Amino acid sequence: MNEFIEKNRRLLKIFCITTRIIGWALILLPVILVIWSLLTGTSRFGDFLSWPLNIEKRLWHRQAFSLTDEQVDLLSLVIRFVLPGLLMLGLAQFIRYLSEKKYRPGWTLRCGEGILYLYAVLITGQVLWNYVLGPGMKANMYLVEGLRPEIYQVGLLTILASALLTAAKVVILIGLGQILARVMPVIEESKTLV
Amino acid sequence: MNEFIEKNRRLLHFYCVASRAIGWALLIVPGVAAVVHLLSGTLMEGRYRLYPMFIFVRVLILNTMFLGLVVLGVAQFIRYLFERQYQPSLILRNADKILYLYAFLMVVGFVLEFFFRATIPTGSSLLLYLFGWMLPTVAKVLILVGLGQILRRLLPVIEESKTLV
Repeated sequence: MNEFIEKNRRLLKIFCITTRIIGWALILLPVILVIWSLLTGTSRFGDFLSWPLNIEKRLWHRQAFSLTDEQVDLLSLVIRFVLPGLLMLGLAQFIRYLSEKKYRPGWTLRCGEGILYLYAVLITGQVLWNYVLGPGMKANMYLVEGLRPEIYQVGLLTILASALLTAAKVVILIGLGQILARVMPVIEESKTLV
Repeated sequence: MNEFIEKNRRLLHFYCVASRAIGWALLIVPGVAAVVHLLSGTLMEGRYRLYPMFIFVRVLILNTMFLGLVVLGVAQFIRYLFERQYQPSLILRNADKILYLYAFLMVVGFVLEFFFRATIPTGSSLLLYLFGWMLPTVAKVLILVGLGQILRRLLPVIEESKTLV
């Protein structure tokens, strides 16, 4: 393994730097958007997440949960940008931890398990909120002009498909959390061996 | 760690069984869906035939089948980590290649999606799409490549730790 790391040190370094830059960009972008929307008073940064017919979903959220557009957008921004950004920072730290002998794990990696579990909880919450409850699912599926809505009006089947995909993501995140918690001591142990 | 495993053996076993069930479901369901849609011919209707077809294939392959492979891989990795005598099977042995292929197809999917959005009036801004979707896609690709790299380096470390008494 050490031989491989020595050979690919440059590549790993470039990968870590790129990952950190994009990770920070993902974390900072929503913050900039929120500040920008507060300063300009437009309060519609959700257009940034533009899928066609987003308006239909917004109306449904408003009617069903009395939520404002901003609250809905904020949750989407956290799930689509901030949490993946944190994951990327954790990943870069993990690769450095794996490949550098003296590197100590940073905050993101130390809390990696918690971040992964939080991500799993939020994804589940978002899907229950957005899709499983009904009309939001349909609105999300009308992707393009010419695609008949009837194709996707399959009720229970659509809900099951959505639940299956979410369950897969949740299982992956929980599994990665479990692996991370167990693998860190193993790596630490392997570092102490000569 | 052994103490933890003994305490949580049931939970881990349940986790692995659930993961495998979900993973296999994700591998089988797209096949069934593809056959149903091909037989019914619903996707070949409408003004823009190619785009719905592309979305359909992308959802089946990227969002479903590869997700299923990753779920199965994670379940196998957990078993490999927790069971002394478990030997990694096909998916785990080739997991890094699967992750790289997943990342590559994600890039291809993004480029094709961009091409379609540039040519078909979808009603949303192309610039917003680029900024709003390119960054998360790049993030996903990097996460997949990173996981592949980690896996390649981690398996020998775990093997080594298993041989230590």
